[in-house]
Amino acid sequence: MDESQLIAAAQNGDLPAFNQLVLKYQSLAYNVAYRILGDPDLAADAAQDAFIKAYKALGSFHGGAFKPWMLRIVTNTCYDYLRASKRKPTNSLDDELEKGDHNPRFHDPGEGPESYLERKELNQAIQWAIGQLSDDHRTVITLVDIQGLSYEEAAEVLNISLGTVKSRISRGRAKLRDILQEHQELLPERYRFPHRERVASIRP
Amino acid sequence: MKHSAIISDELLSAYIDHEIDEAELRRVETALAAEPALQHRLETLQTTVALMKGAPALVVPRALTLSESQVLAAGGRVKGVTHPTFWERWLPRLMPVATAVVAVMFVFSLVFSLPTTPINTSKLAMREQPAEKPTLAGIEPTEAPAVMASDAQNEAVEVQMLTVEQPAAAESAQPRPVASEDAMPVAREKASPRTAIAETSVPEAAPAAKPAPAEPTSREISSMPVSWITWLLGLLLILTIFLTWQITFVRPRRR
Repeated sequence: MDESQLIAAAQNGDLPAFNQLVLKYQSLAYNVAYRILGDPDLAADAAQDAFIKAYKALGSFHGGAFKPWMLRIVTNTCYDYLRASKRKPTNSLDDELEKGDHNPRFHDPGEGPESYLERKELNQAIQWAIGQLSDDHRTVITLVDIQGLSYEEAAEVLNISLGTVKSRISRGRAKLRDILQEHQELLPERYRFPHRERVASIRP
Repeated sequence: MKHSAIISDELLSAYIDHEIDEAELRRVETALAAEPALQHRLETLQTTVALMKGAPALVVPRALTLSESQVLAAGGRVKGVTHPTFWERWLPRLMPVATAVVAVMFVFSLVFSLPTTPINTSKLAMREQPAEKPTLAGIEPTEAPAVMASDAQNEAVEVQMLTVEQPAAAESAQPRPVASEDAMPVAREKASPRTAIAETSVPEAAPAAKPAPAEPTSREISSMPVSWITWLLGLLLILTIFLTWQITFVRPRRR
C-alpha cells in the first residue's frame, strides 16, 4: 500500500495501517522533538503523543502532503510540552555530559569509536547551541537546517508566512553563528569556523 | 558605501538557500567579490548551516507504534474493537469515589449514633435530684422565681421534645408555666418536670389518665432514627465495595 492508501485505511480505523505510517515517520518526528525539547526521553513521549493526536485527527486530514501535516502536530505537541513543563531545553553543557546513560544513540553507519565520539561531541555542541535560541528560532532551524525542509514546507508546518520563515531562519542562524563562534572549543576540530585572517589572505 | 552595510544576514541566508531572485543574486555576488569582510560573514553563516545539516540523526529509543489500548484510552476508535460505553469507561473511576463517600457517611453516622448524650444523661440525672437551690443565709430569693420559672419552662419543652414519640398526657395540655408562680412549684417542676407538667396541665379533679411512661434513657433517645440510617449506610457501603471490586478486578480479568 502506498501512503495515500495507508492514510485512507487509517481514517477508517485501521490501526496497523496507521502504524506503518508511524514506522515511516517516527525517526523524523523523534528527531524534531529532540531538537526542540532537548531531552531524549521527553522527545519520545512527545512524538508518541503526537502520533496519537494525529490518529485521532486523521478525519480532518483532507489530502495534501502528510509529512508537513504530521510535523505540525509534532511541533505543536512539543510547544505544549514546553509550556507544560515551563522548561527550556537543556542549556548547560555540563548537564548534557552528566546525562550519561540517557545520552541519545546515533545511527551507526559502521564507523569506528573515534568517529562515533566525534559525532557525539558535535551533537552535544549543536544541541547546547540551539538550546540558547528562542523556541521559534530553534524550531525553524530544526526544520529547515537540520531536517532539510524547504521554506514553503516550514511555513506550512508552522502555519506562518514565508517572510516570517525567512526572517526567523536568518536571525536564528546569525545568533547560532555568534554562539558557536564564541564557544568554538566545544566543536570538534574539523568543524570549527574559518579564521578571518585566513579568509582575508585567500582573497587577493 | 560598504557592501556589508547593505547586504543583510537575511539576504545572505536566503542566498545560501538559493531563495533569492536574479536581481538580488547579482547584487550579493557583486558585493561578495568586492568585500572580503562580507565574504567572511557568508562563510561563517555557511559553516553554521553546514554544522546544522551535519547534526547526527538519533535512533528512536523505542517503537512509537500505537497499541489498541493507547488509542482507546485516548478516546480514539479502532476498527474491529468494541468500544466501551460511557458507563463502562466511567464506572471504574466513579465507583471508588462513591464507595469513599458512602464510607465517610457511614463513619459519621456511626459516630453520631453512639451514646452522644452525656449532657442529656446529666440533665436527666439532675432532674431526678430534688432541686436544692442554695440560698444566701436563708434569705428567700425574691426575683429568682421568674428566672427559675422560665428555666423550668425551657426544661419542660426540652423534655417534651425528647419524649416526642411518647403520647404523654402533658403533650395535649400544652403546659404553660407562668412566670409569676412562686418558687415552690418551680422547684417541684425542676425536681420532676413530667410530674410538674401533669400537675399544671391536668386539673386535679381529672383522673391521672395515663401514668407518665418511664423516662427514656439517652441511648434510646439518640439511637432510634439514626441507627436506621447507619444500618442503611452500612448495607450501602458493603454493596458499593462489592461493586467496586467486581468492576475493578473481576470484570477486566474476564475480558
